[in-house]
Amino acid sequence: MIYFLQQLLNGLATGAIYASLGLALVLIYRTTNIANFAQGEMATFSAFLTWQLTEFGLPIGWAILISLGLSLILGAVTYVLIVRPVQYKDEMTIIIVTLGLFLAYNSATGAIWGFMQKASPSPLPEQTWTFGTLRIGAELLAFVAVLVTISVGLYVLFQRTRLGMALRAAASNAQSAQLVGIPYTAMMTLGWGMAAALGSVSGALVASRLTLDPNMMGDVIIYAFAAAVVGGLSSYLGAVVGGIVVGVSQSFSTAYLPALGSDLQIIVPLLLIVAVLIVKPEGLFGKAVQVRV
Amino acid sequence: MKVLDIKNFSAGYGRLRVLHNISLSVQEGSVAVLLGANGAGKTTTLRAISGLIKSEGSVLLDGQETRGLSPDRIARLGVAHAAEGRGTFTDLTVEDNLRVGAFRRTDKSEIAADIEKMYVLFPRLRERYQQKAGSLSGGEQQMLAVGRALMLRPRVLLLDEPSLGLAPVIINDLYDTLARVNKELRITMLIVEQNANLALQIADYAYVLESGVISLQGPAQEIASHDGVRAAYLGDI
Repeated sequence: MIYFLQQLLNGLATGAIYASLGLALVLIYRTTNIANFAQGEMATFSAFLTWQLTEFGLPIGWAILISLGLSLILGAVTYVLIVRPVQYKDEMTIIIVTLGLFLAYNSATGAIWGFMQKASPSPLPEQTWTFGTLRIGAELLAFVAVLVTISVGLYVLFQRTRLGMALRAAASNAQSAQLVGIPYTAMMTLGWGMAAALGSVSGALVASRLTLDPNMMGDVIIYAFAAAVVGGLSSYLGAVVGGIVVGVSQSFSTAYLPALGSDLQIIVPLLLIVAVLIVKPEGLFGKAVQVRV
Repeated sequence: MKVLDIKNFSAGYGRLRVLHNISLSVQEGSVAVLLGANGAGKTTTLRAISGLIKSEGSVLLDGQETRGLSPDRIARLGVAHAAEGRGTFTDLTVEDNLRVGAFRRTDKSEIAADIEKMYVLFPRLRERYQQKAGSLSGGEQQMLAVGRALMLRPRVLLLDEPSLGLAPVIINDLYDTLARVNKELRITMLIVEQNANLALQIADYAYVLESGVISLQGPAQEIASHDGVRAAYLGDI
């Protein structure tokens, strides 16, 4: 039982990472209708930015905050210069552009900071609390706190503020949004900026666990997409629930299906996704697309 | 006083010109109607006024040039546009649609009062205030589109084919309400319609658009009794 709980908690911490990146994916999908394959690489870039700032002598907490601000600007610039010109082209063009962004960010990270792994300072204390044989690390508490903060923040922004309403309206109907006076391009730019800032948070979470490496988000982005798709791709709540489901199932498959080994355990969360999509193609919290005729 | 004054106005899509040097104006507190067959350029006129497509010439709103501004700037200056096909925010609730309509305003208590006013004008919207706009019927969506446009407290309200696709009894209701909006709220309107009969009943002044040119204009009553118009748009033989 304790072992089960321990695995559940481990999965929860991992799930928080997937959920935070999944939220960034949902944010971009909701505002610009684009699946941003480069989200993970943008997050990696942000994590390296954070590392660079600590190298300049900044405390890690400040470095993360400044990197978050820089990521917001970077996301906004990426939208204006690269995404906006192709936004209304067909899906294939957009997919190719975001895959191009993936490569560009990955290579930029490598070109600037090298492909060698780097030890990253963690903002978290090494503290662990023990209850019987159950161990709860500061990491778990911090990850969950970060996820809750992000989720509540997004909820308040979208449901309780004028800016959030304008963002929702712009995502819902571009033309009508402009006709009520909402600056559409500014909203899209802000959406991309916010997503990049969210990504930088997930980058910071990953970096606090492992070493820095330009390819560190490669697996994470797959799971984040899985989380977002399980949740329905357009639902913020869905991304959070999806992230936790994927994280926990991954943790359980490692713990209870050792025969799969570390390379094959990836199939468990992926099978789960396939199962969800077969039963409920619009995802757990997604809305089936309705076309009025 | 002219709220909207359009001169030598041309517009089109890409290299295709649809409007050729039209001039029209709308007096404060009045209803002007723009009649014409399919493809005459009625929708294009409204889209160009709102800045959704490029245009040449001059559009004065209360004497201020708005041609060339972005659609959101033009809206914030007070031009409300209920577009053809209604253009509601389908995944927002009815009440949020109304609230978004007031985006250019910051007077919170006045906005709440105006939402209440819209529910009085369109009681059906009150019944469905928490429903997603996408789940409304065509008539209800049109009411919502008009309500949302009014929430802007517009200087001029542009309505594109409000009767399109609606049952006759609903169209009558809608036009009754539009007449009330004009009389009681003193809202200036420019209405584009194929359904000339109804539009002419609430209009003060009418323009007839043919192949991108204004072919006829005059007080609504005169236009309504004009033989050519009766034959072409009012179903008389």
